[in-house]
Amino acid sequence: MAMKEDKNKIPAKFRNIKKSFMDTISLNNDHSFMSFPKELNFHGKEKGEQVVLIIRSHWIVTVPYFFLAALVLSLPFVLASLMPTFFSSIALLISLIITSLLVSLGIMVSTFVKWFYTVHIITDQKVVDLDFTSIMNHPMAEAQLERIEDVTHKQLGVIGSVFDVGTVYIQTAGAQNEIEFSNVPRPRDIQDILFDLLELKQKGEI
Amino acid sequence: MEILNNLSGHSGDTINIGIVSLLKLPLIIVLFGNVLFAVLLLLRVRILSETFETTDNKLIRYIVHIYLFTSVIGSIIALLFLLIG
Repeated sequence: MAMKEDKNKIPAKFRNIKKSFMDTISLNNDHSFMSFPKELNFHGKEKGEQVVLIIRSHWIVTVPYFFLAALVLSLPFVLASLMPTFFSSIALLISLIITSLLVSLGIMVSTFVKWFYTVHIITDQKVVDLDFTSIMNHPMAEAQLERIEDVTHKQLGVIGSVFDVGTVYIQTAGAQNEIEFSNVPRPRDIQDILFDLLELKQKGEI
Repeated sequence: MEILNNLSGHSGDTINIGIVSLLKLPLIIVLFGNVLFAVLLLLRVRILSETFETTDNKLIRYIVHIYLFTSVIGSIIALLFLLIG
């Protein structure tokens, strides 16, 4: 039944394609690795352009931020136990607890928003890289598949080996000569997908 | 001698008030900064939801609105506690 659902998910344009990536692309899909998403649009999407893959950072990358939020949350209690004379006033302590609660909430919400909007899109025509680097800027880069010269990937140390996380580097011909998909899941599969799409594009099959 | 004792007592109080005030000031700055951050995040999400449109955008906007609302209300409460503290 699951296999049938996956086949239905694949758009007509890709159903008859016999490439290795078609076997793996629909497996273990989640919000970090989503193949052929429906009801999705992005700035600069052409009419008839098919989104093949949506990639976000692996959830393991967000763990340090949640630890930081927990640390901020525990800060008033640590300070109160270390310097009890400063926090003799209960009102001051409550105020500090509320402040730390708000700051840790801010860290968690901004981490989630940053994860959600740092998105890498692979379509049948181009590669789009939308980064949420900070609250003040969100650079967006895109490259046509024809302009891609090389695709390489690098695992992210020990964590990368355990959780299959890495960075994919896309070398392009142009002013901005490299697009980076940082800390993404299944980097080898992404590399394989891009190589197969490039081949299909060169043959004119997509 | 009495004058000297009074002087020493006074100086101790001044130091205590100074430390509490010093602690209050960064808290007020952090609270204000947090509200400002929430507003900027909401504005950024508005732009990004137009750049990248999915069905989950509504959820993200809802979460950020709740965060902004909590920040404003929480900051007011924390500020009131700071004033009475």
